[in-house]
Amino acid sequence: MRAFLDTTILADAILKDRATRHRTITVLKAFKRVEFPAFALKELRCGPLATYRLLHNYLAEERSFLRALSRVHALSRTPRRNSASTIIEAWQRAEEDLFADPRRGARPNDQERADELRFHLQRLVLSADRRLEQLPGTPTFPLRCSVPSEIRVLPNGLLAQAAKPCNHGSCELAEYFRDMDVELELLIRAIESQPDIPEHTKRLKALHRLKADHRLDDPNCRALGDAVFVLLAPPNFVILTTNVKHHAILAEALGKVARAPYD
Amino acid sequence: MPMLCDDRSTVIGANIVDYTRDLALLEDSPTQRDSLRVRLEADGFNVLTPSGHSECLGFLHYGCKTFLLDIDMGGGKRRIEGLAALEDIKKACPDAFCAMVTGNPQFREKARKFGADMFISKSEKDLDTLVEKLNVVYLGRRFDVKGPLTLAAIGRSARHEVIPSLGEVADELRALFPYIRSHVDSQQYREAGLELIILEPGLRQLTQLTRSFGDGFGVAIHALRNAIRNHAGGELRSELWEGWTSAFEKVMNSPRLDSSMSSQLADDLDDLGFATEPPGWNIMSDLLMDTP
Repeated sequence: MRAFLDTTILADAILKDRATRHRTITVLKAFKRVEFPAFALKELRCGPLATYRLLHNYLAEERSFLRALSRVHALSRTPRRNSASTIIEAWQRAEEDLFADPRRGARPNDQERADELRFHLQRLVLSADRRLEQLPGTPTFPLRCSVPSEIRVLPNGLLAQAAKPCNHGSCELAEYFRDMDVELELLIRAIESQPDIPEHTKRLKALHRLKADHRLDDPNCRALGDAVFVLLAPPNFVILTTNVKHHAILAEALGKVARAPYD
Repeated sequence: MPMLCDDRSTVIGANIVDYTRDLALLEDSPTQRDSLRVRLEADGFNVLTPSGHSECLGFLHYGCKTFLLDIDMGGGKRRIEGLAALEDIKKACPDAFCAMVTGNPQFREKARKFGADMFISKSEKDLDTLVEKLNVVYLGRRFDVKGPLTLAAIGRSARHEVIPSLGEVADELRALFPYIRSHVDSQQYREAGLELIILEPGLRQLTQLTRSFGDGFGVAIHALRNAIRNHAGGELRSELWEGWTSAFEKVMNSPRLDSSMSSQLADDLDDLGFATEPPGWNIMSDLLMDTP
């Protein structure tokens, strides 16, 4: 069996708690061959890792869990309101878990809580590339925009990373899809048969645009999301994802198989 | 009644609580209590919430010497709960700092007789004043200054080195190692795992030295501390214990680690079998995956 990984599996393997990371790596080692497209690296860096860096920097600047949370709350008045809402929910649930566990000993004060989260985020951000290299899998379908730029620790403790420019006119991803008009059309039909949710609307728009002129800009590239993995997965590979619900509809449209790693 | 407020800011053993900036808040209204707690925790206090005046004495017994007591706690007998607590606390420990929440002049007069140190309402302005006053109180205790807190008084204090050095904390922790080691690889795995938690107060003190040694030290110490906290109650095999102590000594011997060395050290603890993430990380990381 061969596996083609999406971003959720990479995140499980390098960013989650130890139990999840080890379980994921064990699953991956059971496959004869494991591949993942460079697009997954791009999604990982633009998604969770960028959020980790943002949270780290808020915690480093504020030296207070509560003040950092206020900074996140301020995001909810910007176009990043969805990120803010998710982060706030994540923190709330994590705190509930913390207070419910009697083994934790003394309850941390505000600054201690800020520090323990910040140092863990810092470690994950700084070691992400090393962990990706150690992953049992080969990156395929290279993209210039997915190559990481160096993360620097600034003298004030903040983590900085230069943004990689989008290649617009000469996007390698758009080139990979150049001869896939039939597959693009099948995906469009599959999505059109689904409920009208914002994620589908954006993906449809990106697929139509791609089919029309074989070009991709950054927002459309991100909007393609799950469709990229389904289009690029080689025929004899199973698409491994924790988000089977969304992948399965697209995979079935192209006669491919998507499944969760722990089934 | 014997004097209860002997000078111990940290209790190691059955009651693993660090009381250095603890503040016991006696308030019967859950809404008011939560609001005050959040406000005071934001200013760096560990807010304890005793359910009544006898529990206040329990906290006093374990080293908490700062109290915020609501006198006017509803009707009936409970009305005098805050006053009763004040009287008993001050009898047992005249040094304890007791701030009273009341706007009633009669209660103020009674409370003053019992030795109340301060009166506030629940207004933002009064809370700011309270926080300022408490900061001075804690600083005075840290430097063992009796009377007005001045630089000269701090200089005269024989105990101005209250935050222990890295070497002192490391030695205190090392002194506990033989006890844990005696349980390793015995039939009492589980018991030994539970005993790991006796290292927690010392490790917590080490996290407070992060500013002296930098972020690399912070990453490593938090990973060591989380490894212990997450493993409490688990089986303790010798390779786990040897690996942890070896990582601990590495940090103690060269605390100014750079970021890549400390990340590697934390990853090595992971590989050994310790989970080094902070509490709540499993839930948090799941949800953060959804950030666009």
